[in-house]
Amino acid sequence: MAKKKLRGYLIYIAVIILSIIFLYPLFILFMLAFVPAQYTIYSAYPSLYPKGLTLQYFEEALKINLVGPLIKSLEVAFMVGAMALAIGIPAAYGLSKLKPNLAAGISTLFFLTNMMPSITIAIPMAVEFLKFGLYDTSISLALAQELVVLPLSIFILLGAFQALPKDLEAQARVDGAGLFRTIYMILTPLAKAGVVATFLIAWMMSWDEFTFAIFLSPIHPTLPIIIYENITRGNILATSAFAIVVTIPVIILAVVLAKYLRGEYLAGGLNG
Amino acid sequence: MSEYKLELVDISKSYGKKVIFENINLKIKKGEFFVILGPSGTGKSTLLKAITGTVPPDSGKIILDGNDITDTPINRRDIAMMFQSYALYPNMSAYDNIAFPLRMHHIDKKEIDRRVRSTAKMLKINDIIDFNVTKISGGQKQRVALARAIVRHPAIFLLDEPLSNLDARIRYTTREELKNIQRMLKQTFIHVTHDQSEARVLADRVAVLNEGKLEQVGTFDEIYNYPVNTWVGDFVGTFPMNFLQEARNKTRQIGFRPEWTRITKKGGINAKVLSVENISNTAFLFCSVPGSAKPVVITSRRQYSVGDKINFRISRFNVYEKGRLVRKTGTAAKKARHPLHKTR
Ligand SMILES: Nc1ncnc2c1ncn2[C@@H]1O[C@H](COP(=O)(O)OP(=O)(O)OP(=O)(O)O)[C@@H](O)[C@H]1O
Ligand SMILES: [Mg+2]
Repeated sequence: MAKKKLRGYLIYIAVIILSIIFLYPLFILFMLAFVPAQYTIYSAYPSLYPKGLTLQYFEEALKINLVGPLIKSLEVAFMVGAMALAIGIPAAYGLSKLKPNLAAGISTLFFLTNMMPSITIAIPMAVEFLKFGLYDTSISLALAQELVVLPLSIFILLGAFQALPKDLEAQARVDGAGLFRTIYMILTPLAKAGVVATFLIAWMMSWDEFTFAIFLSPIHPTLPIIIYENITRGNILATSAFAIVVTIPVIILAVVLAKYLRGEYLAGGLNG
Repeated sequence: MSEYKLELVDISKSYGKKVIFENINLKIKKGEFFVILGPSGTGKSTLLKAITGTVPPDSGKIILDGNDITDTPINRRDIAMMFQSYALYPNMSAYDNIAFPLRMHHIDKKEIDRRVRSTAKMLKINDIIDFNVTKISGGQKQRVALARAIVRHPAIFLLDEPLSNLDARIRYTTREELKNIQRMLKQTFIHVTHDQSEARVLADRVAVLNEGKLEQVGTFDEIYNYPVNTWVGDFVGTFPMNFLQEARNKTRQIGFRPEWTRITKKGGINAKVLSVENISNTAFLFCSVPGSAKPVVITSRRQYSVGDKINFRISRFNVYEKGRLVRKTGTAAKKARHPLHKTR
């Protein structure tokens, strides 16, 4: 009894420690953005709690031209998310039909492109896109980012499809659904948690992707490029405030999609 | 046109080195209620899945209405199946589950509604029809799955243990319903079960499957009265068939059902009652008989108690040679002397 309770407490302690590790950088970001500089970067011993509050940096941040890059970033991120599903779902479905070991091997091979530095891919890509007249467009950037996003997307979706009960697909086929309708009317809704997670991760990977963005879309940049430009101009405090603004859409999206991220009732329609 | 609804020609299936069934040949007549009976894990479900194509057989042919459908895509086979796992779509309501196959076959909306509701009513699930299938009981799930299969008008119905999870009362009524539906639709049903009372009540013909082999195909009475081998005799029947060794020939056995015996004052076989089981008006006596390791079951109208010494005669029996049926004896065998060794 007591042992069980102790274990419960230990889990909470572990969760708290992990949360601190993950949230600490975000906390520092908030400190920089809302606490006057003399208590943070200009002080010899920066305090760990806010000694004062200011909205000055926030006002400065909003003077940075936000609208164009925001639209561009959103556009690209949604394209990347949509393509991750449009290509990832059929690919993962196909792989899920193979023996699990073979499927795992092939999906690992996809990560080969991720093992090369993005720059080595970005430069030749920029050249090609120039030739096609796609340079600096949202679609070209989205395609490039897809290269990095897709292997992970397939990997997550594969796991989701493999976890589905085989009888459900068989039943749908026997009931008269063709392959396409089986995948989109039965399997994809059932793999909902994996599908949503894939979309969210693809979206976020695109949202803060930097290397491809700076090479392929320097004229109409995305938000991470704006942050980078402002930091190099020495505008750290306003940029911190700006970074928080940039984080808001991610938080909104994550909160909206969170309820789908549970894989609760997968086996609910089966025997028992 | 073929006179058979479905023909399985030499179909086999293995998973790796594990053979599930081998060279199955089966012909199922039009409008027949066909029951596949067998113990757990013998490949009954796999056989049904092979017919639908969802688990393609390694070799052999499947012929439906005279057409070879072995390579026909699953969704164009015109087969309805209820899976043993129910396989309800968990993202849908009971209604949408039942309507799904009709929608896939582009049936008119009004017609779909009419058919879904009448089927649901027949199976007494009309009050839960709007519930999500994850929120209903196991028995209700089973009936939704059954409804989804019988709502269609396919060439053949395959039902994998459709009654196993229902409680006794509903099982009997649903069993009757099923038989009535089949009579009404005049359609061919293949029904898989390990419950012999289902086979007895429902089947026009029964196939007994054991470890991927068809042991015997025939009416339930044929199989009950003349099991082709000792395994079938042992498996079929509320109580296994009794087998006793012949005195003169060690490879020969006689097989008889409990009710094929008569208790006598003296003579016949001496036995001692080990235990008694009463089923309606009949007492089934488990008796030890000298020379037989397994207890012999005989019926009696009178009550006996444990330890009583009795004598009985066998009025009818089959003869088995090395476990295979070699001679059937009908009820006229009253005069035939039982070929047992003299006990004592
Ligand atoms: N995908 C699979 N891979 C390997 N073996 C399998 C697979 N599916 C079934 N089997 C094996 O095939 C055999 C037959 O299974 P099947 O489900 O057809 O039996 P069954 O007669 O329907 O049994 P039950 O009465 O328990 O439903 C079992 O031994 C099972 O372990
Ligand atoms: Mg089974």
